[in-house]
Amino acid sequence: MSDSSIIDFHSHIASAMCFPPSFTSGVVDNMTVALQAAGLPIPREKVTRMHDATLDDPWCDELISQMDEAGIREAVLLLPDFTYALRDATHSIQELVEHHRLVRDRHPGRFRVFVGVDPRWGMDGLELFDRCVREHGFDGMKLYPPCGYPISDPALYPFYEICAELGLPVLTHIGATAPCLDFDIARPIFVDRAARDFPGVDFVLAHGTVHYPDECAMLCTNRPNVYIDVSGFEAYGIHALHSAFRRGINHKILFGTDWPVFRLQGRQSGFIERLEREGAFPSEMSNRDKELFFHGNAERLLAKKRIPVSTV
Amino acid sequence: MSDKTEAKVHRAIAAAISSAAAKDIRPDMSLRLDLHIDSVGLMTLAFLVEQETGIDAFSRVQEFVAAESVADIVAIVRRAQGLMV
Repeated sequence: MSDSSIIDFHSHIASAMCFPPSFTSGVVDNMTVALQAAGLPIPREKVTRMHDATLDDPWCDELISQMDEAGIREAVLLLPDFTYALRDATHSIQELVEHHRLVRDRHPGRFRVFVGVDPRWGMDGLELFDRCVREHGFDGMKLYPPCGYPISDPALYPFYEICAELGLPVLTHIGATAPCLDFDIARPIFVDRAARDFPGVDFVLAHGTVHYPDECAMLCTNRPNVYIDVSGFEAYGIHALHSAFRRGINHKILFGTDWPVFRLQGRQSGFIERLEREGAFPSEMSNRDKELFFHGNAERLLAKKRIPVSTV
Repeated sequence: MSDKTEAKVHRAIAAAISSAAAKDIRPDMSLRLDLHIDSVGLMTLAFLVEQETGIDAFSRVQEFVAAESVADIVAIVRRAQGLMV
């Protein structure tokens, strides 16, 4: 895959503006516990400093450099809306939307943006989302159920109607996350009602080989419009990918890295090298299926986007 | 002087990892691909390098994040000590 054909379906802008302090503080808490368990008296302040060093690329120049090195042609930048649930957010969702628009325009042809708006913002949130996809040309919706709403919450249906109209996918976080948020509400099965009610909308379950992999695979097998991305494989092991590729759902599995979450563990190119090196792909997996994984499935989903009538 | 630095860094890396590779650390080894250092491992490494060499490793976290090989860690220490690399 050195011909720059890869699409990374799961990345974020590496900037503290995108992650409220309470969110990153929880991540540091988990790291500190691990270090203390190893008998290392590293002060929490130093752990925080190391973690914060991964959030130093607000304009995605370093990400572009690593994408080029790794053969990643395009990446989907996901903008989850933490601003309703975590009130210590330093920037409003409107400001974050604008920043993502500027980053996308700074690197033409390299980024798609999936925007999240917490449904509890009501009509203001719906109007913002509508503006993002019709005027800014954003490419999909990003949901973060741990903020306090299930994927099939009726409050999300007006958003899904817009996605159905414009052919936009919905990508949702699945499973555990920063400890300041709810874990239980982010189960994959909660997509089922929405996926049934909106057969024309593609739903992507993020980290689908990491959290609840059996449930995710079941949904991919039986719901035509449910997919998974594999982001998180960097930390949770290549063996889970190997298992997923043997479940007959290779037309549903999308490559993703979750940049910059695993930045302390290496470069984007290293993660891609590890896939082959550590045996992610079963010997019987065809080249065609590998191509679907690295870019074909993503291209198919992104190609469904329709230009809004008002801008034709 | 520089050999001592290299030896100290190798000792810190060996203490930070638990694999068999700890017995034969070479400058060209990849921290992640060969030595399997993860995010907690990198913090452990920075801490142990600080202990071994006396540099303020956590004031150079960007360099640790960017480091790819054993030689890169040695270079960080040498820079911190004001030595030529």
